[in-house]
Amino acid sequence: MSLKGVAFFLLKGVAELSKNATSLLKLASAVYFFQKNVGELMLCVGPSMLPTLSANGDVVIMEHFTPRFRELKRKDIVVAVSPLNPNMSVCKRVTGLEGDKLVVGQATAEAVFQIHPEIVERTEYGSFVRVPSGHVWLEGDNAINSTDSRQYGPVSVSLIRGRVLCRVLPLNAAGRVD
Amino acid sequence: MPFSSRFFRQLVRGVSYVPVVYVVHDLVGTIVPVRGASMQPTLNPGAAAGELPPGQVSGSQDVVLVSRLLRAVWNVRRGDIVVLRSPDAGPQKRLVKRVAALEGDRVYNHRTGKFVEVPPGHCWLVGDNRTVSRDSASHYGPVPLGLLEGRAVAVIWPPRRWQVLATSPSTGLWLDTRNSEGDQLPAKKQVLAKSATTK
Repeated sequence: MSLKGVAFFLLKGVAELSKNATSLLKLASAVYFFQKNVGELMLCVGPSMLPTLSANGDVVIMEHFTPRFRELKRKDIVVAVSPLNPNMSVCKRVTGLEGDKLVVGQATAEAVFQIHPEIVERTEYGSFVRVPSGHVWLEGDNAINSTDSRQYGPVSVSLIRGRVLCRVLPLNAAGRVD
Repeated sequence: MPFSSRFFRQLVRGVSYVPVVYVVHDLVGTIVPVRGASMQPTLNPGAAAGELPPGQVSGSQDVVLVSRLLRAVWNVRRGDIVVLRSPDAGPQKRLVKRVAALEGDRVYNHRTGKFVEVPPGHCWLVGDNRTVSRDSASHYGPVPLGLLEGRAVAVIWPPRRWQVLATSPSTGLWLDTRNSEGDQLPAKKQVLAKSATTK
């Protein structure tokens, strides 16, 4: 191919692209809009949701409707922005809704007392935590290896990004997650 | 057919711009009307400053420009006015408050009279109108940074209220903050100092 031919080819490509730039922008925006407001694929890595989700990484479909328009239910698996680090997300199960009174261990009662002393109740029979309004209690299925509400207290519903709908990868484990 | 195919084509074309507007709203900035008196006199002063009877709900409604640029690497600073999703009332409700302290700070809660240490990943928010504001001091306690959505940079409506919003409260009041040794930081240093744990 001659130099002139290559230059012509490149110029034609740039012309084509700028004609399609608006369409490209609209397409990218539509994808972004869909991912933020409807649903997206998420990779969940870590041992905290064993045996439900594998530690090596499962790809799941996460939908955004539930935290905004519907009520969360106990046993829903949700993805939330970590209360400890706003740049990280955590994948946990909802085990308590607002108003629930949960039995917790000593360590949990002390940890939660540091942040929200008014929701902790310590009696001679055990410690209780009352989940305040607009919050949920999150716990990983792998209790031994999970940092969750037992360490950082109830999580505001406004921090929840979406609910896990089903698993997509690995293929042999695809389907509903419960 | 009352509607021509040309109408539908134009309709589809118009709708196709909606996600673009959404991307601008989510990544660049947006416009937020401010309700309530919790940020007086900085926002919604109602009657002219100084004439406002205590507890009166303001009449005017300021509209602020909220910046969301570089939200992922956004370094929240003490004194920023931020827009956030409500910790209590669900993600559809928005609040506008000022950041008084960041993680690691020990903050004086003027409502309870106690000192609070702000945990990692959280901040302490106070409205400029401290007596009527629902904020960290009165209701929420430390607020997770994940709830913050943007920084209010300027008032853009009504025109007589045009201004760039300052980093420190216009009333000159500030919450007591101490450094790790328990020494009281002077007021100017409290606004500009960065705590050791802030990214």
